[in-house]
Amino acid sequence: MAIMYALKSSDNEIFEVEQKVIEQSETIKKMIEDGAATGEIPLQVSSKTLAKVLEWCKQRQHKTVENENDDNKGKRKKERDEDDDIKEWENKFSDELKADKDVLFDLLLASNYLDLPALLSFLCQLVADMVAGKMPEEIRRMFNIENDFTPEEEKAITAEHGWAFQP
Amino acid sequence: MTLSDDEDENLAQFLESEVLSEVSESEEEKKLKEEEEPKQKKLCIEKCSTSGSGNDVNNNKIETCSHPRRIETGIFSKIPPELFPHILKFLSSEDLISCSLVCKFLNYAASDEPLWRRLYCMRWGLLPPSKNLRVCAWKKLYIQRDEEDMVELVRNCPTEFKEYYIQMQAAKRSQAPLPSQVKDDRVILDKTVGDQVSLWKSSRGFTDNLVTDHACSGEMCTYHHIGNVFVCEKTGYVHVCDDTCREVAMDPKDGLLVCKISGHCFDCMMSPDESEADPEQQGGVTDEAEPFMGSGRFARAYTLGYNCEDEKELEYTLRFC
Repeated sequence: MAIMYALKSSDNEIFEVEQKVIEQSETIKKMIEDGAATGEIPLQVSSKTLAKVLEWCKQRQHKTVENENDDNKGKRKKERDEDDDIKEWENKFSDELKADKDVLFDLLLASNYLDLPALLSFLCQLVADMVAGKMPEEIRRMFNIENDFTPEEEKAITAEHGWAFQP
Repeated sequence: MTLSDDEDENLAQFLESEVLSEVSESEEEKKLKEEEEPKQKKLCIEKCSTSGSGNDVNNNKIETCSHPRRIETGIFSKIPPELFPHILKFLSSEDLISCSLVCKFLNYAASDEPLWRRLYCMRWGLLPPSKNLRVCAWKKLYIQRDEEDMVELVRNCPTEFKEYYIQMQAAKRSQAPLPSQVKDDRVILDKTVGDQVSLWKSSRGFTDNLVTDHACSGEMCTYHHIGNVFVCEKTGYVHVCDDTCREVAMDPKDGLLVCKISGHCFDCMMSPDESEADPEQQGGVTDEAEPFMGSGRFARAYTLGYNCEDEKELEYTLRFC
């Protein structure tokens, strides 16, 4: 029987999770090791975001367990199939996040707070993909960023980076 | 006869000393200048003064002088500044420059040295080793070299194909790092060290393929140590710990930035111009930052027992900290 832990979100929702799944979070792993994780573990993460985090952790957990059970024979092929499955799952996951930037950024913060390097890296790549190939004005619009350059500064800085937008 | 010989001798000596003194003088001057530049930059950063403060002769004044701590508006304002390098490292030079023009903070974040050093090394390989300090930031080096390449190309190409050549050349700017290059520091190694690393890796049965899935951290992994290069013994992941170290994390105990792998301490992230300057050369200017050097927990661990056989021994060593 797997050891279960109860995580409490910032809006007081309880999530029951297997130790193996939640130990991917270095932050929680430390709490468990230090013996600080008795009863409910309160987290500064909303239930909506925490659900997403756990969705990710479960998927990763699933994958590592399968890898451990594999013997080396035929691993290559299986790995490839698995990779396809994971790709598919990740694509779905990232499409959902791209559609809702608030969730994406909450998740980014949560993965930073919970110290989940794999998820953090995945999300950073996702944000980078959103930025890639965009013009400054598009980036501003997409993320609601205010242009805080004075006209002179903007001119100077455009001149400095001139080549990027010259044919 | 002897007299004129003497005279000749004297003249020769005089000339020689003249020439010599001139050389040493110009060398001194150069050194002085080199020392001064980082100083000025440093001052500039510390004061966070308004841009164009005159004494910063060195080009990128907007970047170094006024960088807001984070983005004030929009969805990015939620993100802690230390996460930006992790996002921006996936981008090409063209995209980084787009970011630079978005707002002041992003300009600052997208001018981060490690990002540009990587892009530079990916495209042109390493800089030839030289005793002189780099004259400017990696970003500027990149832009300059790109420009030079373009000029050269346009000069040498047949006029009827000029446009295609330019397009081809420009396409190199949109080359984003590959996933393996994003994580691994191999690309910034010079050849001798690179060979050593390869040798070690093959002796352990690692191929040059990277395990991208594994997240190396100072706690979980043991590292083989060649100079300032750290190779993960489990995956063969290569980390170079120098002025553009990318593995820094905030030590919550004292707010220092410390490399998770080597234990080296850095006083300020994302101020490459600061860390670029050798602390010794800066003399009195760094009074504030100096006492911090090497005083973090991880750094103490590093000096006391990084070379410990195992975790246990390290813990044992750390009881002093």
